[in-house]
Amino acid sequence: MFGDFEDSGTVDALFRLCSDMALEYDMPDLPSWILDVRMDFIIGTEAESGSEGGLKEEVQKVIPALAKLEEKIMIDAGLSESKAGSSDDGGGGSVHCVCLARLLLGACCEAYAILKCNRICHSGIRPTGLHANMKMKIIYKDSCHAAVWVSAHAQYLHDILHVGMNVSRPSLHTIKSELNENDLSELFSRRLAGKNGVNNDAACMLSLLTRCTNPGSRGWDSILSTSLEESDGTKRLCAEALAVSITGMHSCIHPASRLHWKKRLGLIIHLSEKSLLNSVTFLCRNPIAFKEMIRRLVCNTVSSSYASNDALQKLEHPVALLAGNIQRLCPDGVELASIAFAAAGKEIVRSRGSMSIEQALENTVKFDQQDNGAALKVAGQRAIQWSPAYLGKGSSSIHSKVAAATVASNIFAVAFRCNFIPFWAHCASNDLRASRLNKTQHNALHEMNAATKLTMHLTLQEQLEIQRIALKLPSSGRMTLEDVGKLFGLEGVRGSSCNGGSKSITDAVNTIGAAGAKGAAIILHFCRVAAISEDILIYDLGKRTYDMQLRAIIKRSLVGQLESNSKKSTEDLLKVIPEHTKHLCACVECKRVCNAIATDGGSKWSSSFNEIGTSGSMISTDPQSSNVHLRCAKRPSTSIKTAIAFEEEMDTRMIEADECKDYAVRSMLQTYNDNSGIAPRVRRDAKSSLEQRECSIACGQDAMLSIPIVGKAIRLWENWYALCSFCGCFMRFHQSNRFEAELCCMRCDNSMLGDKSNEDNKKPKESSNAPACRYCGKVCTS
Amino acid sequence: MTVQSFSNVVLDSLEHTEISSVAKNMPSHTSKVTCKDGYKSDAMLFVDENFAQNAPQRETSLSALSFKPVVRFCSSHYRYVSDTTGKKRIVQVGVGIDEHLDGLGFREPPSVRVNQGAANFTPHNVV
Repeated sequence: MFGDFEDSGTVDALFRLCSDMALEYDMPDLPSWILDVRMDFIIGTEAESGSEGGLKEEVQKVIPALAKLEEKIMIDAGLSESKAGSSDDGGGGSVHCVCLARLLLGACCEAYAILKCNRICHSGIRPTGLHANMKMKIIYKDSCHAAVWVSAHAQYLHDILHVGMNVSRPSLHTIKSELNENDLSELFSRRLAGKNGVNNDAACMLSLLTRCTNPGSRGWDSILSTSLEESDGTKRLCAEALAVSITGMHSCIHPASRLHWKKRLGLIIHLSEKSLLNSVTFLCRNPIAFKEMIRRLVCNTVSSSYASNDALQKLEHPVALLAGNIQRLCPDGVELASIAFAAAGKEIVRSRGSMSIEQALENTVKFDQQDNGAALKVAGQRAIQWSPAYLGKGSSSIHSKVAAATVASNIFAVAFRCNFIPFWAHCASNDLRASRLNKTQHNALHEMNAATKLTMHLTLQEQLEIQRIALKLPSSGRMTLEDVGKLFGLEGVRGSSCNGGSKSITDAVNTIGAAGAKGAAIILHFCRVAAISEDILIYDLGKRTYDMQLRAIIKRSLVGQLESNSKKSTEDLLKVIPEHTKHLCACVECKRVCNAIATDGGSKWSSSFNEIGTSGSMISTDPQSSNVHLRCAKRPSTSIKTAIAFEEEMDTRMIEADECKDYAVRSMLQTYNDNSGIAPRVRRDAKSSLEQRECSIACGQDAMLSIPIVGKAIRLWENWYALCSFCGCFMRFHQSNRFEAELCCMRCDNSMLGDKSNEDNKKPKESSNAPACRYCGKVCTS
Repeated sequence: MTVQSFSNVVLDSLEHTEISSVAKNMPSHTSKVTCKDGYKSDAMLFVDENFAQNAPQRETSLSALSFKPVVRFCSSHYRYVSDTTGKKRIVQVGVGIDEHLDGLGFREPPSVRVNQGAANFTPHNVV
């Protein structure tokens, strides 16, 4: 999360605590170096041999005074963990003394934070007032900073006494704490984006971070085991989070619940000698505890995303409730879980390390729903309670608006079923299952569709006008019924449901009917066109990108190098470039894009993307116009073969010409038997018959869809495609596909582009016998 | 580095019309990414593909956010500094592609080539 003590705000936190402490206690004169960010700024500099008696004299004065002060504050706070550092009179080397002085100052601050917190309320209890909450929040945070400062210096002193000289100076990274946990906020921001552009390890961690805010535990166990089995990185991150939770080195805990720094040092050393990976696996047996641990990690992860948290708070989103804000402490459940984990650490210390981490966790980390807050309400305080749903209902209150196209499609479907079900029953009475229609039946049933018939009452002029409006509006497919009504000036059109949709088909018909017969026809026709236009979205990337992509594809296809093209402008050259280089080609039957596409989002950056042309396609020449176009060359799938066979059977049987067995049809429709399986079969067949085309068309029977893509990003079947602005290759666009300010495949092939200078820079230089530095790569030339 | 104009517009309500009117003027700049003097890719705003399902993405210039890189706001990327002349300003830290961790001296690990070279050509008796 942070780089050093200053960056994290530790120094400021200590200043705050010191200045408050000075108002209550007699503080010794503190030397200016005592809160320097790094010890390297003191040791071996002028500060060490200062003019006024030197550093050693200052240290000898300040160490005993700070030790006594800590003892006094601890007694005032009602804790018996005193006698800190009193045995050391600063008689060691200057490094030891300086470190001890800094440690003791931090220890005083930590003890003072406990005292201040206890004055408001003790551990396990929460204040109810806003002001008290704010004060507690600041003290919790400052206390965490002080604890990290103290433990880092204590660890340094321990190491330098036991290991020797080669010990790195105390820093924010000396011990594991919430201040140096990995910043997962960028990963967390991708929680709604699915697995696109995220590798397996990140996806595993992301699923844990995302699912931990759900109040229910359904599916949590399986995600937990899968994520930890599949990803070693996730396991390690969880192990680090567990270490932070057990040592209590985070700000979600009352300062008094944290171990005294001496005992904490013992615990930190003990944990550093053990592998926590096994403990993480063990903790999986207690999924609620694991969830609480991950929630604490999420709480820290999102803590610096103030703007997002504020926005989510308006929606009462669980993530915002978890993150809290400057005015509010973390939720009760998080603190109670933190206390339980810290208790496990205390158990280990009490047993002097003989108790295993697993055993300690089993003994202490238990969660039961409690309600013992009534006794303390009078005093303006309440006991911390834990309940499974302390983060709310688990989902945001965002209403996903139902588009008018969805409502209209339901009306079309019901109107179709009105005619299809009698037809299906007629077929069934003649021992034929109507799972697919032939051309004649398809046309007949759709012409009988009441919704279609209504739209056909509009004149051709009106239909074309509505069509133009629907195609012109980029968000026509997302408009609600109310929006569509407003667009055409139709009064009283409003979905009966609060999300813009309708509660039932009857409601939907009544809603559209409120616009009158013609209005309803307009809405239905508009929605039909809008639904079609929703399949393809095109975004114009602008002139600069167009020019760059044009230059790139000219280079890529080498058309500019032909002598006949040497004097042509770029726009003229574009005309002679092959179609599959400048158009997105796709088969609408098998829904496949056939251009050579870089789909990896740049993750395979080490190898260039040098594929060109198309796959599984063939050229077809129109004999009359001599126009050439691409067709899909895929063999027909089993489903298309089955569909063709069904249609042929329908043609052969001519079921519509058979005599209608009134009695059989009536009895089939009137006799409802749950176990007969008729209803699901009718529903399935009605759906497939409604969605089928007039007749089955195999891949390759029609020309492929061809969309100009230069200077544009195209969304086809939920995937965005664009050209790389630097090398002109096709790419499935992910957010990672950006270089400078342009879209880039991140795998540009310089040799294909003819840019030898870049290629030379990228290629590893020829090996020589000269020795090279293994760290910076500098080669010895002498 | 390209100048980044921030749009800290505070709205009283999240009405569609208000968002649309604000969105007309933004974003007006883009930020370079993963290149020299550019930002790290993880410092950029991540725009979910589902954003295309919303009207502001389709009808306003906010749609540029999906394709043009824009640096995201994270408070830990900023530091309030005061120089020797007493001038105060806010600087971005830790988000540049070639920025080393401020003063700590961490660097990118050496390339594979360098390691191989060292293993192959450094005589054992020198070490």
